[in-house]
Amino acid sequence: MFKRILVALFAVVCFAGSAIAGQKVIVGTSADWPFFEWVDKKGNIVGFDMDVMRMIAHLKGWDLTIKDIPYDSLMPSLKAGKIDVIAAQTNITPERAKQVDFSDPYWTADLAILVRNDSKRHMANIFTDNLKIGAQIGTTQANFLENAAKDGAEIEFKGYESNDLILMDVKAGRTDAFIGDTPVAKVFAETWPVKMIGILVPDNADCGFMVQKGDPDKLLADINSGVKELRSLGIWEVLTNAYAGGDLKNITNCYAGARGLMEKGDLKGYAKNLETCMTK
Amino acid sequence: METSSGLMIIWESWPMFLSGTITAVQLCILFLGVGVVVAVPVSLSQIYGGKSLKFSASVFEQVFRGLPALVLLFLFYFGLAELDVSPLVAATLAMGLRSAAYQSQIFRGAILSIDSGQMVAARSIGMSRIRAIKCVILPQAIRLAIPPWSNEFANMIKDTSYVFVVGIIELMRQGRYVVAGSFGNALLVYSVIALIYLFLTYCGLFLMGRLSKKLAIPGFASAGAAMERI
Amino acid sequence: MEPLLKVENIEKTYDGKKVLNGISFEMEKGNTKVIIGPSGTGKSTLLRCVNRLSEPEMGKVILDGQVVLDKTVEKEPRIDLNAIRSQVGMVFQNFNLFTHLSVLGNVTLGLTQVKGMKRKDAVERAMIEIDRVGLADKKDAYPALLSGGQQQRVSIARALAMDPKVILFDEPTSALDPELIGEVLQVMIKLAKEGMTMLCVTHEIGFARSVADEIIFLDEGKVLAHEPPEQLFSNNSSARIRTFLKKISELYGGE
Repeated sequence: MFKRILVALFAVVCFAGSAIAGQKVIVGTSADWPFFEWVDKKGNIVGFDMDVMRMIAHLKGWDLTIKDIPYDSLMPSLKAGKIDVIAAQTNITPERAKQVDFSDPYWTADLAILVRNDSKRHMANIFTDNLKIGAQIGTTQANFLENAAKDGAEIEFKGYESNDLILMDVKAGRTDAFIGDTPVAKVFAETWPVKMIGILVPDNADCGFMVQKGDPDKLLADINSGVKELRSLGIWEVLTNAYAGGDLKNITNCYAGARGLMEKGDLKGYAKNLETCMTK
Repeated sequence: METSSGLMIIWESWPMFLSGTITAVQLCILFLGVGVVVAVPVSLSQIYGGKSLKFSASVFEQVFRGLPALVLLFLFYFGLAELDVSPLVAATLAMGLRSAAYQSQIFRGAILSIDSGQMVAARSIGMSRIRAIKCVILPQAIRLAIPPWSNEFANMIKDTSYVFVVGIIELMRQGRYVVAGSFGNALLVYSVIALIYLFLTYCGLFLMGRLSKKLAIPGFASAGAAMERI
Repeated sequence: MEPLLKVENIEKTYDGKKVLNGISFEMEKGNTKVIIGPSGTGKSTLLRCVNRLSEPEMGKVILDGQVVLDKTVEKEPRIDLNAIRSQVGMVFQNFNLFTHLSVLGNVTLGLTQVKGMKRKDAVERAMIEIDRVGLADKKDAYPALLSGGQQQRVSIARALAMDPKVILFDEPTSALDPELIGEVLQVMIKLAKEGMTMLCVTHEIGFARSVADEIIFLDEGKVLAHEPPEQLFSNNSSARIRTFLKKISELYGGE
């Protein structure tokens, strides 16, 4: 009996030791942005950004924790040191760059415009007549609209805390259009009574991961080289296909089926498995 | 989106609703508990304290009643960043102390509505002021405070939905997850959440009513007043 | 022999008005003294000064050799007021029973909380006093369900249970309906006859006449007369006293 306890103790010490070995990294996200980050039916935080973070953690030996925090609170949380990285498909802007450090761009956001199915509006007359146009506060799209309104565009910008609220208003006719990222908008166009009328690509639409100003924990190098590695291994492309080409509603089963591979460190296997399952 | 598939989503998401509900109840009990523990001395200080104690208690009460819950949450979470407070600690401080400020006014009102002769009588048989408060004033004040306190409970169970701003996953946030993951059943999901909050409020008020009845003293205060609210 | 209670030169001001202006008197053990006088002359305040529920500016109070109050010296000696108050019973005009406690609870509270008696002993002691005021069958009733007369008897029992050296009665019958006054006076008369030391503020002239050893007539903060009832009610009192006594007799029936 005593021997068994000793063995158990030894195992615990080894386990604790291995846990301590990795650098502790807390990644914050706002898990209500399907495709990049949201929550599946089992309560797991899933999405493209999350997979990238989990893969980098494997490649770089991070001891990773993912935390869901409202989008507005992400920047203050990072600055206060409550989290180490923000992975929330965030647009690289000069204002933000004054407060935090960005990774190399990993995604280029665009502006996909959604209107209600019965709307007669098209791209030529969407930014006229003071139409009410909604976007999630803090996103590239919201910044674009805000700046456009400031620059004299004939629109009324409506900021929302989350996408479902914008879509409810569009459905009800209280807001005329929704602007979001193309992959996200595609999903919404299938599931809500809305249609996509066009896509704009603004200047400076690059998105990056964020770390604290000055990168005190030396994480940027890990992130940048990690992304490069994923690209060169061909994993990046497969992962993009899985989310952009797949049906996001399959995520619960697909993630449950594939996550074992990720945990074993088979990143490529995970991405392939996910892609097959999502696009089935 | 078809209603039937919407109902499927609600059904499949029950673990999220359940965990959100449990969190909401736990937070509510925690915040109210901290509130009571702080509110009683604050109200006593306001009534029986010396000048400086009275003043500090009033400042505390004014500040925590005067600030919006969200502002307090941000202040405690980000303001105390140096101390590395966890979201739960920050939320407990913000919401608990805020509740304490409101509750202190409930207790103060209850204590002040007790006839001054009770204190005089207690002192006249040789009780110290503290003992008189403990044995005579508080037992009566608590009974008087139950109906207005039920009100504070009803507010608090709903106010737990604020704490997601510091990253605590409560019922509203779980609802958001269900909405985000189900791509467009917002109305249905929020209706379910509304029903859960209603149910929790009803249960709480029912229990308060039972407590009020249990503690009722013939001819004293308004027995079962909390019950009448629901 | 030293008097049981010695009150010397009490002065008390309320809102700039001197309500007590140099009151002195003494009480022997077993005495019953009644304080009468027009309303607003500080009778109740005087009672409260005896156990310092009210704080006078001047004066001295000695109870059974213990200093209760001494404003004649620069620095008062340390006084354990709670201990002293536990030896001075007090009965209020409005009874002031603890509304959240039963009759038994009211009478035992001081015994357990102040005297530190065990619950069982306290109940035993309390029941003797509750029985003495004739309310044994009401021991579990709550105050709000008792008549005014019964409540006042409970409050007397509450005072008695503490084994007081003196009981202060502050207009004990003034808040009662006329038909309930009798039962309270009966208890008080019984106590006086049994040798309890009692200081009573009351308008019950009949009670004063039959029970009081001495009557203190208070007017405008001063002792106008301090003498046995026979003397006070005889004709050689001052005009002021006679007018007051006449008015009181009309109001309360007197004798």
